[in-house]
Amino acid sequence: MPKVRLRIRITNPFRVNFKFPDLTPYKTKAIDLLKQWFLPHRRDAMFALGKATILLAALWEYVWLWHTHYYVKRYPELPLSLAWAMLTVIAGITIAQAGISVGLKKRGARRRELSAESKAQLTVLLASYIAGEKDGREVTEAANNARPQDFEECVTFALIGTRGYALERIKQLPGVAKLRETWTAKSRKGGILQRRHSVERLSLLRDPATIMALEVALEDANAGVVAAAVRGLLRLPEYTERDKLLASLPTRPYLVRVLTAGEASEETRYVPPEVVEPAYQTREVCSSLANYGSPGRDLLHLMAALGRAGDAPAEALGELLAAGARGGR
Amino acid sequence: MPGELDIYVHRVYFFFESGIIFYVFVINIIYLFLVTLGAFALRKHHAPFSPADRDAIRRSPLTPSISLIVPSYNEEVSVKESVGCMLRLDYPNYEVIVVNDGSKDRTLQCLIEEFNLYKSARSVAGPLETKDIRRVYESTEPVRLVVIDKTNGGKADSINAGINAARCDLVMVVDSDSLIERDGLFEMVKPFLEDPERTIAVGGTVRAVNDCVVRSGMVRQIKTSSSILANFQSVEYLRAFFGGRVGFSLFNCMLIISGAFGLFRRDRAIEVGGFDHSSIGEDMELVVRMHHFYRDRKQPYRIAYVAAPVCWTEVPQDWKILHRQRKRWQRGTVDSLWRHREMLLNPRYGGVGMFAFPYFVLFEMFGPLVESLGYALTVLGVTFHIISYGVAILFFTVSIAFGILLSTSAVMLDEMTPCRFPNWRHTFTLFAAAVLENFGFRQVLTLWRAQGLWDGIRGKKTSWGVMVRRGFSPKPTA
Repeated sequence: MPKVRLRIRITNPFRVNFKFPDLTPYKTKAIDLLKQWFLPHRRDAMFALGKATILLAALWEYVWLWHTHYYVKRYPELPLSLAWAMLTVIAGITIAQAGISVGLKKRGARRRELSAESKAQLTVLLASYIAGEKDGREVTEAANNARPQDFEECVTFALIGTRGYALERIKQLPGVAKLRETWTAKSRKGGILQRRHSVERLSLLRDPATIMALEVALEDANAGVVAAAVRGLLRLPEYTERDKLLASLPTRPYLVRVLTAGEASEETRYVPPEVVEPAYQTREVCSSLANYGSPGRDLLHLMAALGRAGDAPAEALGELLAAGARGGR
Repeated sequence: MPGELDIYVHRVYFFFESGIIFYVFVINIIYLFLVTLGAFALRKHHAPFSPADRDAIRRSPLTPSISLIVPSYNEEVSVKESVGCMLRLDYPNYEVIVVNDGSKDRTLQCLIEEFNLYKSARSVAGPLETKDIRRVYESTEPVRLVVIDKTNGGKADSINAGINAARCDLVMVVDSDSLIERDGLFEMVKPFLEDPERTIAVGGTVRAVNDCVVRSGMVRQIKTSSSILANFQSVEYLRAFFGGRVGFSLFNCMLIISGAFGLFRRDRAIEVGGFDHSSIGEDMELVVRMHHFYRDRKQPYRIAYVAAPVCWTEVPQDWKILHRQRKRWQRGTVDSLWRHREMLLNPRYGGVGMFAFPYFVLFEMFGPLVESLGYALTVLGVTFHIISYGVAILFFTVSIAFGILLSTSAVMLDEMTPCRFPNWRHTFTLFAAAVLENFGFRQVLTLWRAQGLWDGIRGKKTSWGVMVRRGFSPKPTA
C-alpha cells in the first residue's frame, strides 16, 4: 500500500502579514521597574506593605467568620450581617487595644522602678569593686540576681567613664567576659538597634579580643553599625589595619564618614594611657575636683578620656558614683 | 403616576446611599491600611542615634549646618520662650533667624530686650523675592540669633526672607508658638545623613503641648489637657502623623510637611522658587511643587518623614479659632491640589500622581462633602421612611466604629514612640477622647471642612486670623 503523506498548510485567512511584536524593551522596562521596587530603600516599604496586607486580610477573614457562622442566621441580608460582623470585630480590637495599652504601661512602670533599684545597687557594687573595696565574686552574685539588661547597662555606663587601671579592673570581671561573648553574638544577628548597641559596647571595651567581631561588623548593611565598628577599631592601638581602614572611609556611606570624622582625623589619634598606680597627690586632687560639682566632674571625665593622671580621675568618678547611689554627694 | 415617582425616588436614593456607603467603606479601609503600615514602619523610625553617635556628630566637620527660620507675627506672649528654647537646642552648628513680619504688638521689642540684639549690617538679599526689609538685628549669643524686621507680607514671604538670609546647608521652618525637643535636630537631620544625594525635605511630628509641664522652654512632663477639645486634637494629630504620614513617606508620596516643623535643603527650596506668597496652604503647596518639579525633570529625590523628633505646639482650645483654622487648612488643601491638578492620575508622576494625589482629591478634598451628604441623606431617608431606623443606626454605628478603631490604633501606635504619655491615666484619657471625638466633634469638623471646600471653590480670600496664645509658662497658683 502506498504511503499517503498528509500535508497541512496553515495559511493566514486574512492575508495579513502578522508579525509578533518585539517585547524585549517592555520586558526590560518591567524588570527594571521590579528591580527598582526592591532597591534597599524600597524593600522595607514593600515588606511593610506585605505585612499590612496580611494583617488586614486576617482581620477580614475574622469578620467573614462572624458573618457566616453567626450573623447571617439572624440577619439574612448580606450588608446587615456584614455590618454587624464588622462592628463585633472592631469593638473587640478597640477593647483589646485599650487593655493592652494600659496594661503595658502599668507593667512598664513597675519594671522601671525595679530596674532603677537594681541598677543603683549594681552601680555601687561596681564602683566599690573598681576602688578595690569589694572583690569580683560579690558583683557576679549581684549580677546573677539582677536582670541581665540592668547589668549590661551598668557595665556600659562604667565603661564610658573609665580608662586605664579602672578599665582593666572592669575587664577582669567574669561577668564582663561573658558579656563580650554575648555582644559579639548579638552584633551579627537581630535588628539594627541590637546590632548597633552590641558593636558600640564592644568598642567601649577597648579590647584587642574584639577586633575580629568589629571587623565582621564593618561589612554590616546598616551604616550606623559600620560607623560604630570603625570608631571601635580606630580606638584600638593594637589594630594593625588602621591605615587601610582610614583609606577606605571616603568610599563608605556619608553617614559613616560623618560619624567617624572625629576619630579619623590625625589630631585625635588615640594614645593609650599608661596603666600606673596613681600617686597619692594626684588622687587627692581628683577627689577635690569631684567635690566641685558639675564642672569638676566634667573635667574628671575629660581627664579620664584623655588618659591623663592614670586611673585617678576614673577612681574619683567611681567613688562619686558610689556616694551618689548611697544618697550622698 | 405617584407610585412610579415613588419608585423612581427610591431608586435614586438607593443609588446615592449605596455610593456613599461604598465611599465610606473604601476611605476607612485605606485609613486602616495606612495605620497598619504605620505600625510596621514606626519601629524603624525609633532607632535614634546613640549618645556616642551624637558625640561623633557634634565633633564631625561634615555635619550639615541648620538655619532655623521662625516667622513671627504678633507673638509677644510666646516668642521669648520659644526663641530661648531654640537657642538651647543640642546641635553643633546652627543659627536661629526670627522674621518679624511687621507685628503690631511688642514682638520685636521683646526680642531686642531679651536677647541684647544690636543692629547688624548682615546682607539678607537673596534669590527669593520678598517685601522690604527694614532692619536686621543680631545677638552676641554663642548660637547666632538673627532677627529680620520686615514689612508685613504673610507667612510665606517671611519664610522666604529667612531662606534668603540663611547661611546654612539646611533650613528648618518652625512656628514661633512651638517648642522643639532639645535633641530633635539630630533626628531630623538623620535622613540627610543617610541619603544626602536624594533627600530634599524632612518632616517631623507635631504634638499638642496644652497643659504639659513646660519649664525653661522644655517639655518636662507630658500630660493630657484639661480641655476636651485639646485632647480631641491630640488624638487627631497622632492619627495624622503615625497613620497617614508614615505610610505615605514609605513610598515617597508624602504631600504635606507641617509648616510648624519642616527641614528643607536650602539650595533645593530656592531651586523650586521658595514658598508661594499667594498660596493659603504654603507648606503643602511647596511639598507638592517639589514633587511636581523633580518628577518633571526625572531627578531622583526623597521627601521623608521621621516620627522621633517632636515639635510641641499649642492647639486651639476655642471653637471659633479652631473653626477658622480648619477652614483655612481645607482651603489650603484645595488651593494646592488645584494648582498642581496636572499631576492627577498622570503616570508621569509615579506614586504621587497615581495614588497620593487622587487620594487627597477624593478623600481629603471632597471627603467632607460626601460625608456631609451621607449624613443628610440618612436623615432624609429616615424622615421619609425610605430606610428603617434600624438600618440607618447600624450604618451610622459602623462608620463611627471605624473612626474609633482608627483613633484608638493611633493612640496605641503612640505607645511605640519614646514621647508617649508616661502615666496610664493619661493613656486612658486619650483612649476616652479617641472614642468620644467620633460623637459630634468629627461631624462638626466635617461640616467646617465642607465650608472650607466651598470657600475654596468660590475662591474666597481668607486671612490668617488671630490665634489667642496662652503661653507656655505654668499658670500662677492662688
